[in-house]
Amino acid sequence: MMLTMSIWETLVAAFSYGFMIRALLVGITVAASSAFIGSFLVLKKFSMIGHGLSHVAFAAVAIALVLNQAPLPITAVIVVLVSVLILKLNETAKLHGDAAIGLAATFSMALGTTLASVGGGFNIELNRYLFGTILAIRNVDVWMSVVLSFAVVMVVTLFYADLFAMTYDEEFAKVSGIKTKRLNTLLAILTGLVIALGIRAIGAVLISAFIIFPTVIAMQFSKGFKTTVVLAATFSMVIVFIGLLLSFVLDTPSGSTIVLLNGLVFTLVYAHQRILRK
Amino acid sequence: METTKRVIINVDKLTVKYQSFVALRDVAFRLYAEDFVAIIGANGSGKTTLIKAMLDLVPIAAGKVDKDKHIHVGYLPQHTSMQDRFFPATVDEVVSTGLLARKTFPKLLTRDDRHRVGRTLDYLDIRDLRKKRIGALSGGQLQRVLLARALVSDPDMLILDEPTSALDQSMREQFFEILRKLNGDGVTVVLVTHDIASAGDYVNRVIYLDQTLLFDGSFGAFCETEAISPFVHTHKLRHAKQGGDA
Repeated sequence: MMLTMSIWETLVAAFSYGFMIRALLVGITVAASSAFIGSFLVLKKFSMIGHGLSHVAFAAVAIALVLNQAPLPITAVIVVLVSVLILKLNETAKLHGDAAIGLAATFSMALGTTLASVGGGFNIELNRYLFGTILAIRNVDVWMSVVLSFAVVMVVTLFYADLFAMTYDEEFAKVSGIKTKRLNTLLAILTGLVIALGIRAIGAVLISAFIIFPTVIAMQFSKGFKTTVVLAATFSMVIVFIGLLLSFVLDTPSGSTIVLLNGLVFTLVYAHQRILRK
Repeated sequence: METTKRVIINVDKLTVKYQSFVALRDVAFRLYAEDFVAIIGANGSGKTTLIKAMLDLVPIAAGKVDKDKHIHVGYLPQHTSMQDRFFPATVDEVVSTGLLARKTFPKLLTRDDRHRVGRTLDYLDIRDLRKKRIGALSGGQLQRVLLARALVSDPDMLILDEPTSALDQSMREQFFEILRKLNGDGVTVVLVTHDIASAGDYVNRVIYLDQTLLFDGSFGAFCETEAISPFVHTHKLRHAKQGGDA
């Protein structure tokens, strides 16, 4: 009873702060949209695109700060463009996905670091985008996250049948008349948007965890693809909720607490499933 | 091969290259409605490339492939390329993707679609696999599931790449019987195979490739063509063995 009261009191205390409610709203919407996109990326063996694009986002924020512009719109445009570029390099230059991602990631990191060094005074601001500042998020960011995340989930839902067919067997999808090039471009655009949204909340260093962890956790339970997508989004939202509370109680950085919790859940679930299979 | 049947695919002086490697050179033939064709040849002879060119899956360096725009094609790729043990999809979900070719946006599945999937699984005697995870299937089960995906939309033509490679002898015969029945129902069947010894009893036409087209005719005529020794020997050996056993 004591423990129940204590959890309840913690909850009330945590969400009596406006910044926690804003963090929760941004966290769960970004978690849901990242998990939706992540299911397709992980199963297309393109998980690392999130990691690569987060480096691009770092460079994009540096560019925006050098130009003294608001980072989010510029980051969104640049990350979406590079996401599509990686896809095209993959299709036309016959580069393997991981090579194209590696090129974009390392070049962007070098660019971001150089700009930070040349630009001087904005290192602290840039640091916020590296590790995320979900607790310092503004109302405008909340609205943008909610609206864009909802749009991403809607687009994925509308194109779900084609996206699934393409993810399982791209050649068969082409033979079935699905415009796979267009669909891949759509997926690249949505991925870029999710990354751009996520870096404000969770940071460039950790955002790819939102893409990968929920899907691999869900895959330990589900037989079907649709179940995997729904479970991944649900797990991710619950983990964000608990992670935020833990970071509030333990006074730890929220982004890394959420990612650590994802890692812990995956380890437990994986071990549990391995024991069950024996 | 002259016939009065409707031409559904015309392959005209087709050349396909992978960078500087010529996979197919000047291949020309016509496929007719209700043909039952085996495309054979050694490894690297261009068999899979030929069907991929017919399906617009590889770029054509020269020549052309003209397809009857009204025909609907079902495709069964090599199952080995589809064996991802960890992919989370049920048999039901995978077979349902075969319906997308005939659907328009937003491509929602109806109750009728689900019945159609069920009927196709029944036809191939695999309804019990319906809720299974695709990665948990054996090679033979996966092959039949992928055939169900190709059949579920009632195609006019089936293109199959090494469909019997994962099957034992009795399942192979069952598989060919299914194809024979489909062909009897009016479906054009084109299959790439190493197993001409089994397929020869079912097909009405053999196309033999080695980058270029070396033979196009009936299986009987193919067996008389001594120049094409590896395949003829395989077949003759099998029949000789069957004769000896008897």
